[in-house]
Amino acid sequence: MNPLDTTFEQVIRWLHSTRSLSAAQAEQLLAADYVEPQTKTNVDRAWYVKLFIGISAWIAALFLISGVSSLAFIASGPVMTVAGLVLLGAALALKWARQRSIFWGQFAFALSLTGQGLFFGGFAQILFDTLQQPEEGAISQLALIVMATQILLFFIFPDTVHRLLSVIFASVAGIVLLVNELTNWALPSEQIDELLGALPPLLLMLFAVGLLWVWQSRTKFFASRWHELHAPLGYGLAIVMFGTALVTLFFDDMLDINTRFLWLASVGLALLLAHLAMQVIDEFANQFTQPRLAKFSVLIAIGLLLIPLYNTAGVWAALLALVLGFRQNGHLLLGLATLFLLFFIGFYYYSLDITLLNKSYALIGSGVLLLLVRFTAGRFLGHSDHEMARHDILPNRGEVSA
Amino acid sequence: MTNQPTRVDSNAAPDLPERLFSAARTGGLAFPALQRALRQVGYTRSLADWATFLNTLQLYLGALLLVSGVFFFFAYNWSDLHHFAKFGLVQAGIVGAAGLAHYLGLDKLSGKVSLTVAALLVGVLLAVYGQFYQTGADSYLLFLLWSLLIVGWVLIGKFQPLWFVFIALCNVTAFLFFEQTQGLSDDGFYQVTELLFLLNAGFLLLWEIARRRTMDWMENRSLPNVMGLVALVVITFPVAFTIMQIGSQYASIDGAHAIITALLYAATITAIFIIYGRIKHDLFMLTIAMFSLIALFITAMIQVLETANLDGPIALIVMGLVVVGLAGLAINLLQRISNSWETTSRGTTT
Repeated sequence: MNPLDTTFEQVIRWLHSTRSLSAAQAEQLLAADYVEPQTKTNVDRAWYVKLFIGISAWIAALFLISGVSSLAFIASGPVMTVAGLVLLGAALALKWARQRSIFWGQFAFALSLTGQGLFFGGFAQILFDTLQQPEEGAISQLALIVMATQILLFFIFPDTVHRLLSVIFASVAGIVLLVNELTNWALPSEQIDELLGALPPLLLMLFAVGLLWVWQSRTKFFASRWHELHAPLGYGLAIVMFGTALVTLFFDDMLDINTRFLWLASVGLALLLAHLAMQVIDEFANQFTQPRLAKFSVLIAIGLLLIPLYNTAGVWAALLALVLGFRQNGHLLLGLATLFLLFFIGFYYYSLDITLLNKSYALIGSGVLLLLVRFTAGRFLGHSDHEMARHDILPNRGEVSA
Repeated sequence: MTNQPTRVDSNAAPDLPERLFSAARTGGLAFPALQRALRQVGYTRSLADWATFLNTLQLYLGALLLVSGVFFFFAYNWSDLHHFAKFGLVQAGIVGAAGLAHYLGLDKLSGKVSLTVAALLVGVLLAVYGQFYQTGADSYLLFLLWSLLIVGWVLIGKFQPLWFVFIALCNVTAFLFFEQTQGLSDDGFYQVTELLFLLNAGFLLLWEIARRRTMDWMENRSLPNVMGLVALVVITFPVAFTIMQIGSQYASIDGAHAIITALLYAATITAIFIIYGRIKHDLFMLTIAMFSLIALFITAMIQVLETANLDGPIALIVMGLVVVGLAGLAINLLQRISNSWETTSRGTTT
């Protein structure tokens, strides 16, 4: 017998011995087909294969969009829209009819992206050229239709990478809609500027709350019939959150973003991190001699960190994603968060308005402080790092993919 | 059989949590029982896992900030500080970090990180030397010397991040050598990519040979995968360049080097499929090889269509369909190879 089967059996028997399962339930579970390998293979699990699928579908869609849109009979907006809808419908039908086929799955993916491109392009042409709509109204309508289509596709197109793209496109369309509506609100321009200035931190917070909820509910997702929605939603929100932080950082001048509200996002994200840390401590409350002291120390640490990092929401977003990724076994989220953490910390020191010499003091000071905290905590908790030397980067765990 | 299952490493049994989730989805396993099972099999993080995570994070981040600070400090080139003081400070840093590594021991993560800090400070020492003596030497010499001086530590450190630093330094040295001695003209482009390819492929080969001795620290596949990716990228580019030049009226191909890179590319792809498809089973390497092949195929097709003046809508649609077909074929092949591995591993365990 495969040792993995034995382990599954062991777990079920252990659950029975601890009265978590009745004898009948345990036997039923063991008799069922869970001991057989899952339908998912290593190829389905690997993130780089998913990336490969996504990139090649994009390249194919670019060729297809260029080809189809330059066909003479697809020149007008309405024809483009209809052609897009037909292709989208064909893609959906193909995906559902040939769910197990890799080739047809890939074809449906590319066809869907082509259909979307034509549909949105044609719709924009109808709004701007045929109906001669004023720009502000047309942009909102277009954003709304993109958002609605992406939300619908998220549920009905059964492909992880396609769903991930839907989350990203829907979020971007939502942002465009919000900005456009705010810009055209019947308010004095100073007030509108204030509102627009407060939008990036609010959006960052919104995506972070979404990220926190989705990842904290990972086990619930996996145990439900919605399990396939978790990965695209969780990673999509992470990408959008980091994207918003990057846009705020680099395009503040171009997009006229008022960065003086960014502290709001930093404080909000720090509070989310504190909330997460409290949950973790509560989880192990019976293993702490003084759980309240542990909570207090964490709150003090976060509060102290907020003093120098009050205006760097990216660092807080990355820290939140890092802790979430570790807690929920999200390998890829952990990797993504580590990269962004390094980037945002680097950018923070780079953009400090002080001399190189003072920056070096700040860096050395931060480094020494972290090492001292580690040393003190190690002494306090009696922790050894012999175990860690086995892992070269961060401790690895198998990731369950949806 | 015991009733109490031991905490299993989820890496060894990736299917186990999935099977539990699958059981929960059908309603056979209630949510509280699922949570207990996940905790018991080590899927849910324990307090010890958290301690290790925070400890590791603080160590890596602390060391990184500290070394960056030292780099910034000497980059400032503070004139008030006498050069002997500068040399003394860096040398004290190197001796201190190496001494700490010795004191902590290289079987501990903190010891390995200390050794890496010492290796990085060697670069600072060479930079300070260059600042003061203004030797006029090319900067590739600094990186070459840096790599040579730390090679001993790299060998005894048995630490992937330190190897990463070393291999990155070798790459920078090779690139700067060509840039500063020969320039990156068409000939130089072929030569530099050949050298970078040989360097990374050579390291990868050595790594795979050494890995056969089953060393714990080499278990993680991140570094060999990065080396493989770099090697494949730097050899794919000149071949794509050659393809784009063929048929172009402004072609400037160095025939000998074009053939050499094409042969190296063919040998690499073959080696990847043999080594990672049959001997070492690495899906990442196979995936990037497929991606590279498709990229070259698309480049060739675009070139053919352009040369034949076929750039109308039908040609574009055909190109799109070809990309879909090739990607589908590649994934199908990956799936078959992966299935054959699973069949083989099941055959050996029963």
